[in-house]
Amino acid sequence: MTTTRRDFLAVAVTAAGATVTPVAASAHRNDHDHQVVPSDPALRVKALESLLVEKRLVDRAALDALIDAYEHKIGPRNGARVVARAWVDPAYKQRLLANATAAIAELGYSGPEGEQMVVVENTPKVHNMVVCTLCSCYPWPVLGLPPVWYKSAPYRSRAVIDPRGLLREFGLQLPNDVEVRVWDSTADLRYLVLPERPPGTEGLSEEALAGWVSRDSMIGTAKVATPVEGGHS
Amino acid sequence: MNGIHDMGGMQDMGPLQYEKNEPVFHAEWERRVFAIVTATDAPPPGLRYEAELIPPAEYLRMSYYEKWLTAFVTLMLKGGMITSSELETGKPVTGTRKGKLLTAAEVPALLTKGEPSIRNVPVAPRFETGQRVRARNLNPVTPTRLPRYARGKIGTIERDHGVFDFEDTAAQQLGDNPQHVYSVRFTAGELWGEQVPKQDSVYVDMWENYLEPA
Repeated sequence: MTTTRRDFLAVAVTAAGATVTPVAASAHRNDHDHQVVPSDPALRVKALESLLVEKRLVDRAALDALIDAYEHKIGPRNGARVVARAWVDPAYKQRLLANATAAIAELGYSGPEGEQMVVVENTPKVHNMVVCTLCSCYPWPVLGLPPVWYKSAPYRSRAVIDPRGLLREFGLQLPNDVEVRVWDSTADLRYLVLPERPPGTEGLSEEALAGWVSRDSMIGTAKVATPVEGGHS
Repeated sequence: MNGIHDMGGMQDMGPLQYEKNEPVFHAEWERRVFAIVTATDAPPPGLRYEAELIPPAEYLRMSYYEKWLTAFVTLMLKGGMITSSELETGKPVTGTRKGKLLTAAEVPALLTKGEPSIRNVPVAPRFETGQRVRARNLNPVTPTRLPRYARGKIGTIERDHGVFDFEDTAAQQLGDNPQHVYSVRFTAGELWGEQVPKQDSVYVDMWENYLEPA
């Protein structure tokens, strides 16, 4: 494989000048050598990892540490703690809405895909929902890695054109007097929804409240379940 | 590039596929792909834009981590970090690379700091909150974060997020071109016509270069 970025740009720039036929463009695409490794992803990855370790491009212990962090430490429990704090502490909520990155860091959460955070607040009249139509942008420090549906074509394609229809598929029917705001994470900002605190939770501790905050409620595809209605959803 | 990845507004992608109690990873190889890609500084244009070059039929067929794997291997090959014969044999032939390697001891710091792209440089904003703007009708064949559904549409500056590196040029190594990024509010009616609820809207984060006064 000798194709360089410069070659790619040369092709791209020529194509922009409309002097290159689509055939040339697709020839470039075929240039991507997808077949040099075994087709089974498990075998391909094994071979790739061995090679990268031998070439000292990756360190196995670092890989293990990353996996452990995202499987066991960094996940929606973090976001739930942020939400619960905002529910019980009005001054914190104010800071969270004004400067989400700093307020989230107060609870110890920061890092990749959360460098610049924005928190948007649901109210009885406003429902926020987050998507990344172009790829899979998601606030890792507070929600962990995104679920498959969030990265999938059905969600990414319809979230912006038919959010209410999509929300119905999640089981959430919003009345017409509620304004739906969809946030498309097209740049380097990452979004967290501050869901409404459900009724019947007045006596609960901050920690108990956090236990009720679901991942989906912080993406904006669900509301937080009401304890009085019984059971975690 | 006007590719399959830019799917906002398409209607034929089928129903939502929701998995209850979904695990973080569905297979051991997904764990490894995630970690390898996260630990490695892949050559430009970077994983996102390389994944966008996967042919559409393949892009739609592949699982998320298959796309990561394919794009990552392609980037490493194109960047000269590995060769196809090395991939076939599993044995290094170009010698052991010296230099930056993420160690386990450095992982906690990486997971705390991340890689901020906001820049503390004085750049005057061209637009102010509340101003009407039009998303430019740009159709570059190179990387862009300007979604097709917003091009040519009129919106309102909702918020100025500050100054960020401009991904369109940074990904191509054509300069960081730091500039303001704005949250721009587009009404659902402006984007999709008269049959959608008038009260709804879509907020799109846009680099200043994507916008013009309206």
